[in-house]
Amino acid sequence: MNFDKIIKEIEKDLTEFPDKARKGFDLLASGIDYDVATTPADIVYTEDNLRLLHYKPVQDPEHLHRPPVLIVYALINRYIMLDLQPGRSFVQNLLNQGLDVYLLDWGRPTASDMYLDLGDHLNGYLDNVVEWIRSKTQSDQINLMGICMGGTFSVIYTALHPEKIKNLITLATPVEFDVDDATLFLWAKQLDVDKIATTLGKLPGDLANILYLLIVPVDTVNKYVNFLNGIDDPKFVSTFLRMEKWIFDSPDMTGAVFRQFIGAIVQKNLLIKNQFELEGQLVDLRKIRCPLLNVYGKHDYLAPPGTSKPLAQAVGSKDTTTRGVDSGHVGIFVGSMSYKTICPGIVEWIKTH
Amino acid sequence: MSDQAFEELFTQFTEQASKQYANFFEEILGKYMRIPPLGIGRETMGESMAAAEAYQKLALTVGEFIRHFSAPLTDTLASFQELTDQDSGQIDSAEALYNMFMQKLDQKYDAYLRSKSGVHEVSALIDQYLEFKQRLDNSMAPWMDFYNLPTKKDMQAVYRKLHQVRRKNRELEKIVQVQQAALQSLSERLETLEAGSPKPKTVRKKAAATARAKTSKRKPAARKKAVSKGSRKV
Repeated sequence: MNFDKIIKEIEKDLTEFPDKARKGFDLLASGIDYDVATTPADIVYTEDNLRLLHYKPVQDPEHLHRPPVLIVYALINRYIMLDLQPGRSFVQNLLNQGLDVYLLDWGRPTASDMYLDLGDHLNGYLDNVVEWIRSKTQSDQINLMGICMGGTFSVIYTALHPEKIKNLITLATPVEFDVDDATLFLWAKQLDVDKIATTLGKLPGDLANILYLLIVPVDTVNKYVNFLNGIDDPKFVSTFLRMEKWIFDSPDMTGAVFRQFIGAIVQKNLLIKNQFELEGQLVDLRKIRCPLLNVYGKHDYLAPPGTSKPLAQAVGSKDTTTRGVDSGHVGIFVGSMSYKTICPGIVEWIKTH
Repeated sequence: MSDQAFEELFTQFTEQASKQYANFFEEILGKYMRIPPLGIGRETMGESMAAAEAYQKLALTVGEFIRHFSAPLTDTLASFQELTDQDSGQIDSAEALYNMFMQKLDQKYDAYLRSKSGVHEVSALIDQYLEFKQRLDNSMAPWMDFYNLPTKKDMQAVYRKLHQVRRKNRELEKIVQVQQAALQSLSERLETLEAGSPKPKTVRKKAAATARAKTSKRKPAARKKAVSKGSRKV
């Protein structure tokens, strides 16, 4: 190790840093653009906190691929990650390739929503949205795309209402929770869900954020070190601020959903065993007979491959495709690999099924 | 004093300090907090003392958590000299040195946070926080009641009722949709039947009566003209 060289480099960085920081602060104070979710969309349906967005097609409606795609996002964080900035937007990419895209925004629950459970979300809100789309677009079936926890919801919904779904697409979706390499689920298995639901009435978004950051403490610190490194680069800063906006924009999760999802699905792992019941109805994954595309990130630390891959064997469909991509949890939706490879691959699969 | 000796002393101090405070609280302070309250305000007093005790325990738990959470960092720093000595020339810049350190640190934290003790520490911290929150809510409830402010229990009762109404509304909407679909189907079938079949006698007689009524309402001149022209209209 050449200590002299290392010390000289550190000296150089320290000397240059004040100037870089000054440029960075000027940049931050200059009104830098970091708007998110700017792809044009109409709010076509609302119910309580829920909004259904219909993204304005970029192609002639006559040439749109049918049936439409409904994206179901998670209850954790918000959908804006799918539309982070122009030129790097997952949603925009789907539109550019001729899909008719709807997105379900669950909204921000308040204290009065604490008793809304999974049944209300899936057999209520989601079913109403699916029915609305089927009616308006005169489609017997729709393409259902679920992301992360939204993917788990989509799996449950498809098992309960298989006649309404043409294709099921799950992205970074955990279904198997008896794994050793998912820190988040190891922690979740030790939580007293009843105590949390009773005491707080919800899973506060801030608490969820703290737990996510705690899983990767080194990356959390490193992120800000890298930010200081690139603080004078407008493109880098703009992208960073957008990601920050998304990361710390976490709605609360209602206590009833938290109790059911963590208690029954994560702690007891009932879903993959076909033992999970929703409003008295057994959720049998073998009833999913439509084509399935299951995409997971090989370096996903939130929903590691072992939590997603088993879905293909659990469903009753004979037409299943499982794709592991060389990215983390967010990389499936954000970044150049998503834009150039992952998203086009998903669209191609939808168009050929 | 050597570095190693100083490090050992520091570790002993931090370990002993938290244990000593826990003992002090349990043996001395906690005993006074748990003295049964008396009088008309005994319940409120009891809840306040329980909240204060829960806060103390939370502070202890946070301290223990921080102590254990910093262990991977101190381990990595302690072994850093060894790591750099083992380097075979790959570390040739400050950035490479920094990246190597962060990589080792990440591995240590990953292992700790997935370990039994790491998982236990996180869940214990959350559990103690919830304990404190519960006690705090219980201690505030009598005061909110005194000032005629809705308590948490009051609001939860309202939210429960609201949820029941929403559920009922959802069920009714489904029933209405089914009924509407059935009505629509029946209506379509009826239209099909009406379009296909001839009109019955009673309908023909009614049509004739209607036509006669229309003719009798005509002006007298028009009627005379119709009659004179030999109109057959009835």
